[in-house]
Amino acid sequence: MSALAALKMVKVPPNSASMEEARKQTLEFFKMACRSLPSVMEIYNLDDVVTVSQLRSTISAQIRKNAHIANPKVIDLLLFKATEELSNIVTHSKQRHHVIGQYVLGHEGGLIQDMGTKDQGISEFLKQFYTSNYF
Amino acid sequence: MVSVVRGLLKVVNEKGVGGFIKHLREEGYTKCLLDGNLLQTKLHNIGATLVGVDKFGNQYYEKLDVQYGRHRWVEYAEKGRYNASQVPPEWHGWLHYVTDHTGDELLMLKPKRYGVEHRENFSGEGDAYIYHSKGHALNPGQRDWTRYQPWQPAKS
Amino acid sequence: MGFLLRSLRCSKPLFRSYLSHPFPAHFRWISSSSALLRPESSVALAADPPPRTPVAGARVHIPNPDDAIEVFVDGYPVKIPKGLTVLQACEVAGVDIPRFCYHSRLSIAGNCRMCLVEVEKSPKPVASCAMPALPGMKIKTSTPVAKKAREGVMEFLLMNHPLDCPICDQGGECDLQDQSMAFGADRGRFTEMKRSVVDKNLGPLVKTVMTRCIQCTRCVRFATEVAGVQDLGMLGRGSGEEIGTYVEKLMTSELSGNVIDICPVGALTSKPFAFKARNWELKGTETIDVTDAVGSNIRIDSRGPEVMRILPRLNEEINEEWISDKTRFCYDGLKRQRLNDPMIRGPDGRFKAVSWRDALAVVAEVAHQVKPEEIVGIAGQLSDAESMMALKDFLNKMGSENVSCEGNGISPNADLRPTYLLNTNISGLEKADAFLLVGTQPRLEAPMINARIRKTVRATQAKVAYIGPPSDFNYDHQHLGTGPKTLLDIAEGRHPFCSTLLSAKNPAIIVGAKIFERKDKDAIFSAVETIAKLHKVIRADWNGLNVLLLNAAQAAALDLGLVSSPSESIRSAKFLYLMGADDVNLEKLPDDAFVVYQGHHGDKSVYRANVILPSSAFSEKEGTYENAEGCSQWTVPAVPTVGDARDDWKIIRAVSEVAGVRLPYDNLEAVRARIRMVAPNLLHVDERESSTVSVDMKPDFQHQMSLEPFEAAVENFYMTNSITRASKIMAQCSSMLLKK
Repeated sequence: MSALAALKMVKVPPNSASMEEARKQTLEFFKMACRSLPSVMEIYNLDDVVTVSQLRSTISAQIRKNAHIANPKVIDLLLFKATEELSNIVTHSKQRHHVIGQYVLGHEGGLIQDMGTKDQGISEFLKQFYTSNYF
Repeated sequence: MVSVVRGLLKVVNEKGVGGFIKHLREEGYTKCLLDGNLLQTKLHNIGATLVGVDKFGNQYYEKLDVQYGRHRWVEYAEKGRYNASQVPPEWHGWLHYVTDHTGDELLMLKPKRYGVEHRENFSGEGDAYIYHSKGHALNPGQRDWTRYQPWQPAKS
Repeated sequence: MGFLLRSLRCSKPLFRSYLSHPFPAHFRWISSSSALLRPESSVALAADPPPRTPVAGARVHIPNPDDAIEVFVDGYPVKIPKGLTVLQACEVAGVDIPRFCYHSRLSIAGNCRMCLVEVEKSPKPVASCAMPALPGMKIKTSTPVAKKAREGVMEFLLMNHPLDCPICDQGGECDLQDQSMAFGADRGRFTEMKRSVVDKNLGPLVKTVMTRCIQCTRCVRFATEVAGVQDLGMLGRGSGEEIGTYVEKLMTSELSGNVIDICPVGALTSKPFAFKARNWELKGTETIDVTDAVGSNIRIDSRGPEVMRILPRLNEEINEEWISDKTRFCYDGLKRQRLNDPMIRGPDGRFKAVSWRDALAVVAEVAHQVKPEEIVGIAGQLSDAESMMALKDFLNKMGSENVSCEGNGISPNADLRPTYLLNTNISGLEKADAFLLVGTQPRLEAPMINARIRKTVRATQAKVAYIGPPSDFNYDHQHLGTGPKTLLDIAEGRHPFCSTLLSAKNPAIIVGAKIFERKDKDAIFSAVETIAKLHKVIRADWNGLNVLLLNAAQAAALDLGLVSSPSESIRSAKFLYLMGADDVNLEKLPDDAFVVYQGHHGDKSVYRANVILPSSAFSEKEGTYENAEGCSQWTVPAVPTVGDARDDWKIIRAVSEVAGVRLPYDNLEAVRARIRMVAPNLLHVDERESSTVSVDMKPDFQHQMSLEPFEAAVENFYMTNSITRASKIMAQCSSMLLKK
């Protein structure tokens, strides 16, 4: 799939009236993002860094992070921002290191820290120590 | 014309009929029927002097009694998909009347230590040369920006 | 038209004096004019100028008011002591005289002629660096005569100087470049061929481009006077004159790098730095050196994350303006063999890079599995005071007392601070008139202190006696013996050197730190103290009993109380925490001991480690180091840390939290506040605290002194710690310069 064809599919969905509609649109967005993944892999030359399925799980993780939201207007807004981000990626408006930094490394806890249960109860010093030498 | 027929008969005598047909195919005479360009080259070749053959097998001809400026030409080794980039640089000058030195003479001046081998233009053939700027992910000569050399535990 | 031309010609002198008066130094007519040809025209200009501040903070100290004389520099009177040269008088008056051959720490040669000034009633311009100032002298530094003289000298110097500034490493910091811009003409009249000179091979450190040499002979004088090697000299006369080693020979001085700094042109440049960077690209960081116990003041020049070179910084008390070659050229070791990731040794014996979280968890878990008395911590010779404080606090909280610093020997005695410091101070050594060196080779252990001793010997003919293994000195000395027997002889007053010591006004005894590692060190020190008592080495106004430490961390470690004996505690250790300690003998360590190595280089001890925690080197962290004379100084980070490394004290602080014995400090100020409770002198940066307790308070020991001779502390001057051992330049030096 060429980048241009993927771009045509990236369009902002109309406002949703109910939660069902918002859910449908979210799924639509997810499908749209998944369909654009092969061309993303190609234009950012990500083959030696990440696989399509890893990127797919990154996207789903990003969506699941907002699973608790019950207001369709908020979901619409988030979908709008997600669509914007996706179109930025598909139109090559980002550079390779942006994509790697945000969606490849962040996925494993490199740049974006997962503040899981492991770090609970440790001091601010130790948290910063794990991140960097300079604080 | 007589000399042409005599030459043909000589080849048939040497190689037999099967060998002759094989020879015709290798030399591109079979393709001449569809490729007028090649046919014209073949016709020109009659009575011309073969000045040299380069390392790819391209043959360079000269005939001084034709119109000036059209008296040097090449018959490519590749009979099917030939193109001008198949002429190596040492013959280019002779072929285009830049110099009267033939490619074989110019090859003697070629420095031993450097100078890459001639490569024809593969654009459109799947092996195109694409320039990637410094820092591009696909540039093989990307600079290594680490300024220190880490300790290698394997050496212990 | 004719009227216009005539009016222009009439107005020119007026216009000129209007322009040249407010900016006499910056604006000059280039062409030689009638005013330049007539010296008396300067009289009109010499109205009294405003008093200027002395050049580069030059101060004069006039001990005896009767000796003061008054001279006039550009009409401005200055009071100077007798015996100063005209150039120094001008400096006091705030006039910077151009010079090439004159250097304040070297003898006066007077052969570059750049410092010509006009002196009233003298028929010719005089070379101010070689002319003593006389009372009432009227010196004129910016008259047409002086300017023309400088311009002429500069033209002669540039005649045979190649025009290769664009490819010259000195470009941008070259005296000749600067001064030809300020004092030279804008064109030359030389049309013949320039001469060229064959380059000399001075070894792996100094690169020579002898065609650029202007024969100022600063390097020759430096080599003979300060470095004390007779390697360099002048050959030939006239245009055939050149600097060189007389025969093909390398420059084998431990101070040879300083000729790079004193060379005013690009004839002698740094070989490792050649073509690497331009000086205006570099960021200078004023910090201190840790490769020996002197704590030389240095400037680290870095570009981005890379240390490009190390230069000395002026500190009259410590290193004057020289540094040793080890200090100057060890920097490429900072870029090689670096530990950049925490690593854990797996069951298969191979190291695997892990995250900090995992590495610290493993360390904390093992630390809790062993008995408290089986935990041992050893600080390395490059550790700063903060990290040693943290290490000691951490191990004490774990219940262990076995914290020590390598090089401090068997159960070091840190009760009395003067027993392990250079009490005379480095600059104080210049007052001494007799030296007794016991088991120390200052030339290898502390080249800057050796340079001070040499300076003293050269200036005052002080006597130097030496007890120890045969060694190389670059000044006159008596080798009295190799072992403690000679020491006993002197202590009992039987030795002929006793009379020298007795007659000396300020005798100084310097004891090497290698003696700390002898079993009979208490006996040796009591013998030394007996000598000190006998010969009045310690008086109210003079403390001549010195210990010369080897490593940068030693003094701070003793101040902070890292005083267990590593060789004994290692035998029963189950958990060994090495903080950059590479010179400890790990042979006696039990095989099942768990070793944590925290350091910045993959050096000797890494191969025994179970966990590696990468830390930052001295160029990358802020730390307190105390030098041999007890003066604490701070390093300043010049470059970022490599890879995933962390500062030393932060690592220990993090380990302590993971191990459940959290140390109470979260930032550097808090660590220093903790240090203030233990050893407040470490926070008094750049101050030397004279001791208030005397050595007499030391309890008497009656140990048998063994008669085995003293050992050399430093085998290879160029490779003494993990940084220098990783350095390629130092490896080259030791293979080329230490050839016997």
